[in-house]
Parts: sequence; structure tokens; C-alpha cells
Amino acid sequence: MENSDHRSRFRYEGVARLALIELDQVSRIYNPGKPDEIVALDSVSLLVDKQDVLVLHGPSGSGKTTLLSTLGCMARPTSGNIIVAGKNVAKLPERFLAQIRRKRFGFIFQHFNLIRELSVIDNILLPLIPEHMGIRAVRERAQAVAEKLDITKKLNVKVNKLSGGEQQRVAIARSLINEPEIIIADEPTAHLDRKLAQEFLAILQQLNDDGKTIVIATHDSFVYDNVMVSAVGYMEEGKIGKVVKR
Amino acid sequence: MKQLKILEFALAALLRRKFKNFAILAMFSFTVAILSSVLSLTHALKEETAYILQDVPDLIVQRVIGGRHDLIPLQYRKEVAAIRGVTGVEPRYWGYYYDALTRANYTLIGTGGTTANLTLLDGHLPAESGQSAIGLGVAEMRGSTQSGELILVNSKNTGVLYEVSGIFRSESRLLTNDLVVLTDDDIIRFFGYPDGQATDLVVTVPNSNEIQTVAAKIKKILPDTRPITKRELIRTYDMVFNWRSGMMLTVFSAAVIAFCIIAWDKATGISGEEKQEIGILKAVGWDTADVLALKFWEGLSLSLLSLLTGLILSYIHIALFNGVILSSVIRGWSVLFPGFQIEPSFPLYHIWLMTFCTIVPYVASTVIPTWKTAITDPDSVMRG
Repeated sequence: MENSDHRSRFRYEGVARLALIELDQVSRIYNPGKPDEIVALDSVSLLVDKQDVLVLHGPSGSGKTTLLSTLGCMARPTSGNIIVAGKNVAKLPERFLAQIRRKRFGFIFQHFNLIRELSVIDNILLPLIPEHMGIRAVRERAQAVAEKLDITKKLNVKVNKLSGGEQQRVAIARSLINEPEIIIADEPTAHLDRKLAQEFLAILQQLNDDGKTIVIATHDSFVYDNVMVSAVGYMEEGKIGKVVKR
Repeated sequence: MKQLKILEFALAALLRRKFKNFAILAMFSFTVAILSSVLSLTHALKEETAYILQDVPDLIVQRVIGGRHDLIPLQYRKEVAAIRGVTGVEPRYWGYYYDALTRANYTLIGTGGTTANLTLLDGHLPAESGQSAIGLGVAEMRGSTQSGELILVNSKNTGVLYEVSGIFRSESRLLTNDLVVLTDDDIIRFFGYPDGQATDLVVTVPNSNEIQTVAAKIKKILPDTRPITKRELIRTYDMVFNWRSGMMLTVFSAAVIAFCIIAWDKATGISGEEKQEIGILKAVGWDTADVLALKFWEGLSLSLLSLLTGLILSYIHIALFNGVILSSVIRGWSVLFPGFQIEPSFPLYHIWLMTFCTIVPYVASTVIPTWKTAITDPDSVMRG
């Protein structure tokens, strides 16, 4: 049963356990069978344990973003299995994938992917709109997350009026409002200066201390050299090398 | 609760794209206003006509020479009266009068021919030569309310003074607005009708089932006549108004099609920004149904607001401006001159028709193209 609970077939550093995310021989091919076929992921297998901070690095076009999208249930693999919290999600219908994204993942995108004409609070609460929660409860939770990220003064400001660092905080707040177990960040420091990048990593450190699992794709050495990083994987041409634990 | 939040977000989304949505609102409302005005005017005119025709004689006989209406000899009365089922034949004297002073057409009719149930606001019908009862429109245009007189120029180009003995009031001004009632003798003299001839004959047939048969017999006995039944008249008026509104809608359909194309383009041409937005919503956990619900509420809110605005504009157009843009096309330029006030009429089935013809296609044109984007993986949508 592909969609039923699934016990890991992998062994991680010789110890049998249930990984939070498992990728088993995952491939992602764009335009398969056509002249412009691109193999973005080539039989990638990977384990991410609870509270890991895994950094994927490698050159542009190596498949980092595709891997994040695939393990974050934003794209389906062409082949292979993806097990999130014991459930194979590789072939789940879209409505279940949306639910998994909403319940388990928080996304921080390279370009923040905020809705520019919306206010800070309206961007933060977006993931909770489809939830069966009262408007007041949703707003209260958005306010609480904003407080945590020190952006309460800007709640009613449109995000296109914010600086890059502030937009980054809004993106983080949005990724946290649904209280996800896993945070996925794609090139999160690409548009930040060193100081803001440092602040961002401090926030991630705090989230990791609070029990969040974090997967980051970057080619910024400042990120993968950070002390909080517990595992680093190098990607090239859609393949992942050995994941080095720290 | 979930739908309420999506609706709130949809309204905010509409406000975020003010220019585009205002353009759609304006076009949509204009289209609805015109369509609704055409339907409402046609309906109002049909109701007016039906009201008038309820008092029209069941059977009128006119003489036709060279395909045109001519005066009918009074001796035809005997032959018509001899037909079984006919209980009375009365001559009518009437005609049209163009008043150069007010540039209006009046209908002059003899007292013997006032078959409709007319109510006098004041005074009485002409009892003797030199008296007249006139419609409110004529009285207002000629100032007869104050003077109590009406001067008309007869067929010999001589001014004739009539004392206004009464002014008509009617539930339908259409009925009496342009009416001038004189005695039969005054009408004959005024138009210079030859002796022994009338404008037409009113035939009384008590059994309504026999009217068609009587009409056929009259046509057989008197081949130069044209019997006109009330049913034919009603049908003709209905056809005329239907034809005019149909013509109007046909002409206007070009505008409607243009609107549809633009609305379709505006609604369906999902911009890169909108695609990106759908990608973001999906990435943060909205499923396809949520995105479609968002687009549904957006489309419904905009089209419903446009429909209401269009209907209000249409009501204002008819109630306050007497349907000035369209009424001449639908009611005709000269037949009902001088003007009268059209009562706005919006039957429920017109509103349903407008709703079905505007909201349903618009909402569909908003939701269906979004569906293509909404079923795509968020990763692919955001990558473009």
C-alpha cells in the first residue's frame, strides 16, 4: 500500500529508525521523452531526521530547488518514493498534498514569494485561510508569530514597502503560522547582506532549538559553515553525494 | 467559516486590482443596463398596449383602396348588419392632425368613436358642436388648462376655436395623451369628410367565437374592406414591439459580443502576477478547490455588483429619463408622439434572464481558466 504508513527501509549511520523525511530513488524529469528532456533529479535517496538542519549545496542548476520542491510536496517525482512522517506522498492526490504542505511544511523562498499588494498580516495568515479556524483566532496567531519575529509595528504595511530583511521576516512568519514540523528554505540569504543573513540564521537556530527540522538549499558558504547545520549534502547534475553529518 | 475567509480574501483581491476590475465593472454594468432597458421598455410598452387594446372593439371594418386605408361608405353598414351574429354596426370618425405650432401629432376622434374607458379629470365629453375634450399632453402643450380653449387649423386652412369641455385622465397617459375628442359632426367638418362616409365601422359581435367567421364573411361580401379583429391588433402590436426589441438586441449584440470578448480576455487572461499568486497560495497549502473558490467568489462578487449597478442604471434611465436612449427605437418615432411617461417594469423573469445571461458566463469564464493553473503543481506554476 503506497499511501499507508511506511516504515523506513533505510538505515542511517547504522541505526534503524523512523526518519521524518525519506527520499528513495527519487527522479524528476522535465519533458520526458522529448528533445528538451531535463533530468533535474536523478535517483536521489536521502534521509532527514527530526530536528536536523540539512544544507544542500552545489552549483546553480544542480537540482537543489527541485529537490526542495519535491520533498516539500510542491512537485511530484517522476519516479521513486517520498515518505513524510511515515506516509508515502509520491502519488497522493493534490488535495492531500496541499493538506500535507499546510500541516507539516513551512516554506521560505528565495524571492520571498509574498503577495506584494497585501499587508504584512494578510501575507502571514495566508496558510490558515483554508483552515477551519475563526478569523479572530487566525489573526491572533498571526499577531503572535509577528511578535516573535519583531515585525508587529509593520503589520498593516504593504509588503512592497518593506526592506529585504523585513520581507524575509514576513516570509519566515508566514512559514511558521501553521506551526510546521519542517521548514524548507531555498537560497534564503541570496538577497540579504551579511548582517541580515546572520540575523536570519539566528532565527533559524532558535526555530531548530524549538524542535523544527530545517532543510536549506544554498550556495552561500556562510550558511553551510554555520554551527547549527547538522548535515550537508552536495548536489551536482541532479545527483546527491554522501550526506555528511556533523 | 472557511468560505467566509476566502470571500474576504477575494474581495481584497478585487480591490488590489482596482483598474482592471473597475473597467470590467463599467463595461458589465453598461451592457446590463442596455439589455435590461430594452427588455423593460418592451415589456412596459406591451403592457401599455394591452391596457389600451382591452377597450378596443372586437371587430373594426376599414375600406382599403390601392392598399391604403380609405373612408368607408355608410351604406356598407346594412350589409354588415345583415350577417348572422352581428348585433350592431356603428361608424367612427377620426383622423390624425399635425400641429405645426407644437410639432406634434394629435389623434382627433368623434364622440361616437370613443370606445375606450376614458376618465375625465375635469368637465365632460363634448355635448354640442364647438366643444372638445382633450388629453393631458395636448392640454399641457397648448396651454389649454388655463385658457379653456383649443384652436386647430382645419382642412380648409382655417383656424377653428373649440371650447375645452373636459381634460382626460387615465391610468395610462399613452391612451389619451394626444387625444382630442370632438362631436362626430365637428370631425366631419374639420377634416372635410364627404357625406355618407366614415373613417371605419365598429362591428359588435357578442359571441367571441364568431368574430373570425364574421370577419371572413365581411371580407367575402365586401372585398374592398379589411376587417381587423382585436386579436390581430394585439398580435400585431406584440410583433412590432418584439421585432423592434429584437432589432435593438441584434444591433446591440455586437456590443455584447465585444464586451464578452474583452471580459473573457480580462477575466481569463491570467497575468504572470496572478499565476505567481496562485502558485504562492498553493505552495502555502491551498488546494485546487480553495483556489477555485477564491476565483468563484471574485467572479460572483464582481458580476453581481455589475448586475445590480446595471439594473439600477436601467431603472434610472427609464424612470427618470423616460428611456431616452432607446425608447424612440422601440416605440417608434412618430406613432405615439407626443411623448408619455413610461412606467419602469422589471418582471422577475427578466431579472433571472439577465442573471443567467451575465453572471453565469462571467463566473465560468473566471473559474475555468484558473482551473488549468490551479491543478498544476505549485512548483511549476511559480517557475512559470
